[in-house]
Amino acid sequence: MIEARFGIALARYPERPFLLSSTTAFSYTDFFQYCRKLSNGLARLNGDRLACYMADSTDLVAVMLAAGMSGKSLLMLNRDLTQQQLPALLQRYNVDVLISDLVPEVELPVTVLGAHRLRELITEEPLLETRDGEILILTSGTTGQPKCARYTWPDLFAQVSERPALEQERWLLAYRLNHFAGLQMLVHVLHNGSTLVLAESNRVPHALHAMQCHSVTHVSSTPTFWRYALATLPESGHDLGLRHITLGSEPVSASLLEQLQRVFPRARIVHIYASTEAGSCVSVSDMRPGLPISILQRQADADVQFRIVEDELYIRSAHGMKGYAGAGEIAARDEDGWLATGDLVRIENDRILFKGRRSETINVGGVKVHPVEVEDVILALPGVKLARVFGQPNPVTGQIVAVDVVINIDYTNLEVEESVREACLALSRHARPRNINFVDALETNNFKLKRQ
Amino acid sequence: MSKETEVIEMIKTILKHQAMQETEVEISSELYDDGIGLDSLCVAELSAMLEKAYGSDPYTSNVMPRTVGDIVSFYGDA
Repeated sequence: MIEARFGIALARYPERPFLLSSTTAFSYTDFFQYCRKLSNGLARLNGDRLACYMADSTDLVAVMLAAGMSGKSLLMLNRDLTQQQLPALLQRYNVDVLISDLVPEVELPVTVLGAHRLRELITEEPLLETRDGEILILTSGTTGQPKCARYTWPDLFAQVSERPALEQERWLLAYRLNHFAGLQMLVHVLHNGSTLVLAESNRVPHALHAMQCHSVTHVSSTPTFWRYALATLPESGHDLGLRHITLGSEPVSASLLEQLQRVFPRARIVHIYASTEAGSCVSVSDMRPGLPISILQRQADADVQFRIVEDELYIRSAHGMKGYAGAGEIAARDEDGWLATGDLVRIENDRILFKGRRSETINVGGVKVHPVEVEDVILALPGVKLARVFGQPNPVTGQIVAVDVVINIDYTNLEVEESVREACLALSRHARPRNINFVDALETNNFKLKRQ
Repeated sequence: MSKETEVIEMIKTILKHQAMQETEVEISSELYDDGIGLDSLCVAELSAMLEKAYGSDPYTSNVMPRTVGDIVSFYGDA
């Protein structure tokens, strides 16, 4: 499948840039040749399963595509994992060879290949057969122990819609490649003959710099990423010529959509609903938060169907993961293939609105409060850069609503606290924050707010 | 500022947060229905405020203060 997609791209635009970074530039032709030769080498490694523990880089992209072409399955390990966490994961997922851009300081139960030695594997000698390997993605684990989703490359490509490439699209990689959304980004770029731009790091200033340097036209990232970025960009006078913004991985608020439209008036702004387990499910472009209620009417022959059971969103996807990779990791799918997403929703008029994750529900004296609904109110305030609402244990009501707030530098804590309290008077008494903490930053995982 | 004044200020702040009627708060004031009128949500907030300010609070320590003075005494005895 990967080879076939490269074949289509090479026939149409062989010299178009496929990958751009601060240090390298590869055309489709050059990168395919590199991946093809690398896949010959990877195919000769012992065992069926590889893992990579590498920072986002052209080498990592090459390993992902070459592994797929070699028939090996590849486990993507987050470089934020500590080395001490690696042995258990490598054992749990039966990895044979680890490709790492760090020299291991702990004993690992597998063969380790340094990423700097990848080029030694390159060989012109072709494979006897071509087959697609699987790719294994760990769930973000923002609310607990991550699981490992198994995907086939054909299923990943089947989730991408082909777009008429009238004008060349340059996409910034604003998710990590070990994250499902980052993998989707790579597949989307290859499928549509676009260009992938890698920033020097995943930090927002580097991302903005890469957008400028490489004339990025399209960006897919989280609302949290954009809240950070908008706090540093002027509303006008910046030189980013974005034509398209995709928001995903977190609920999108009306205030963020409005702010993005003001700062990027020429950009088409969409938000998508996707999950590591179900894949890409729906894209919404009407500049309203939530999903249109019409998706609940989709018929059984649709690629993705939705339903709501006891306030939880369920999905049935034709091209989702094949299953979890680890022993004892049980998919939350019922016998008909419906997957419980853990996302709690409510219907308001013609919209499905997100209340938050089931696991994040706060119980205040027996009344359930959903963090996202409180965050939406707080994030709409002018002095607030980021906010994370959570349940704080309390001896009187079990839990109270608490919030960590990062403020914009033009405001004082006192000003923001007063406006938060005033705005939250619109919420029920149980949902009003009883503890407001001001913090310098909030911990994120791949630009998603990390939940407790 | 004395602990008595600080606790009284906290209670006044909570009343303000709840847009509750301004009322006189003194060391002898009853905290609940017969006095200031704090309900469970107000008390939960008071507990969180005390814990944040002093590192402990009577409610978490299974002490149920009846008056403002009981709260002040809790810290005095600690």
